[in-house]
Amino acid sequence: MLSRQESALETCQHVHTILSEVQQGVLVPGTDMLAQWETELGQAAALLEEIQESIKKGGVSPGDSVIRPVLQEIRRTAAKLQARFEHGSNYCMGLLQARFGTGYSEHGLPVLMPTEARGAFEG
Amino acid sequence: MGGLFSSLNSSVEALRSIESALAVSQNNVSNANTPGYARQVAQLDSQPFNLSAGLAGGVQFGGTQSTQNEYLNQAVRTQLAAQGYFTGESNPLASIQSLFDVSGQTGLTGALNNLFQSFSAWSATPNTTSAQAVLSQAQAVAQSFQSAAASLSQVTNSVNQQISSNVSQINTLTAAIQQANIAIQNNNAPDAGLDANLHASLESLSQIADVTVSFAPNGTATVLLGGQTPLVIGDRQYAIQANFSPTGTPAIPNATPDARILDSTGQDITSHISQGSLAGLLNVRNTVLPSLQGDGQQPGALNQLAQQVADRVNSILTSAQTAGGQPGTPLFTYNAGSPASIAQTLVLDPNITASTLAPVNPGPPVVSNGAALQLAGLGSSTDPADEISGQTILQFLSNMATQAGQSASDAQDGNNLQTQLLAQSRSLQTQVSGVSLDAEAAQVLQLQQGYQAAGKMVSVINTLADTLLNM
Repeated sequence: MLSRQESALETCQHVHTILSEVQQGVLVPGTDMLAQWETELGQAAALLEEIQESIKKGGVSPGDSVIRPVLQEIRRTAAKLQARFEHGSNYCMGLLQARFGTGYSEHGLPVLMPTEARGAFEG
Repeated sequence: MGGLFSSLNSSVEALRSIESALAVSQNNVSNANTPGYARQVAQLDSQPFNLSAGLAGGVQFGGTQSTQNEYLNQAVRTQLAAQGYFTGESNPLASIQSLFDVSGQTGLTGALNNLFQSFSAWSATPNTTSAQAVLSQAQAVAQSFQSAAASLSQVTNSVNQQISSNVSQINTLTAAIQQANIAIQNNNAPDAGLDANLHASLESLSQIADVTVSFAPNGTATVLLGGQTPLVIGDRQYAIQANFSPTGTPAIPNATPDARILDSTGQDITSHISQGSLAGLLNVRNTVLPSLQGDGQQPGALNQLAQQVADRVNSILTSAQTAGGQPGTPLFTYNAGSPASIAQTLVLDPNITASTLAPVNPGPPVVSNGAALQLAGLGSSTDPADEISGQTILQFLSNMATQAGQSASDAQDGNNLQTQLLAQSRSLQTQVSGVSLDAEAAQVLQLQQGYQAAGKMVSVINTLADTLLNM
């Protein structure tokens, strides 16, 4: 349980460090890295929830002038990161659709062609 | 005929195929850093296998195939155009921002603050010395307005040059694409080098303007500007031009006309350009700068401010009297016939002197420093006659400075984000282009799901940070 402003500030700074590291890492994405970031981002969310609980219980002042700028920076970084993850997701979906798309369903959703095992290579 | 000979023949053909494939790989390695080059893949065609008919199977080299993936290329070009927009905006917006000192110490803000302070000192001690100080500060205000107008004019000229340079680059690049199209039409076999040149030109073009590219079955590119204006179709190029001349009769005379981009037939296509550095420059030139210095339709905030300061100061002074009972003289004068040049032409009235500066409000009741006091409070006065668009004079100036700063900051932020998105697109392009999607589809899907999951997690963090800030 966080009981002091200092530890809340340190926690916020730690969350921001996680976000900054992920932001750097997104430049060279990979499936293994994405799984790792998901875990780290989950930890960051848990830390913020912990601060939220401390505020509710009166351990930390929400209007604290030291914590506030860090929270604003977290929000700014998170917003940029979200844009980049959405871009990555859309990019991959578009790629799959461009390569495997056969059209759209009645509900307007893209339909991908079913995969088929290749029968023979010769003859 | 089947047997050993046909089997040997098949093996030799397979070896030749592998040699060809190795040569293709070698070429890929040599061109790894060539802009626009896409990996070439050797096609190994399977041969019929029927020993009784003398067909020994095996593989045969079937030529090369480019791995250029138009979806990936278009994604990179889209990011390049978006980044180009902010790059185009950033420099001129930074120049405009520097004209306004948000600290209020220097420039126009500092000069106006000093003038109101000198009015205040004059109201406390209405003598020749304090009146002379008012004249000095008024002179500084007039010079600051002239200087701001001249600086905006310089930014306009610089943006005009950059627009002309962008248009010239577009014409040079489309000429190169036209030449590449002609070479492709004349080539019987695909040429990876030609293909690389063509794609490098298309990427360079995307940084300047939003272009739509489609490829004919023979490999030639059709390039449209903003999805509608042809720049290159097959072996024909359509050059565009920049125009800075006025059109028609503007509502406000002598104002700087908007910049226009004309197609090869002279039609105005400015509105078709929405991305790339040219669009960013056009936005600054036709929206941001006119909002400050005016154009054929509006006087501009700087001229509005100059006129309001001059008119209100003159109105108060000409309604007042000197200590000797003489009617007051106006402090400022400007060219009223040219609403978009007020800041540029603002000067001290030639008849004003320390002795003709009138501090007395004739009343009734007569107040010996009444006019001077009214002038001292003019900057923050909420009297509707003193306000501009519902804001006090100082609020109006502050908003101009804030807006200039915000626009420059937004452009810088946008530039940073687009740079990251571009790097991400390029990284994905490098990873995905050239791999067999049949084999790698699962990996792409896994990547997409990873992005989606991480995105949801960041969304949770964003919401939590929002909640904490609002608690």
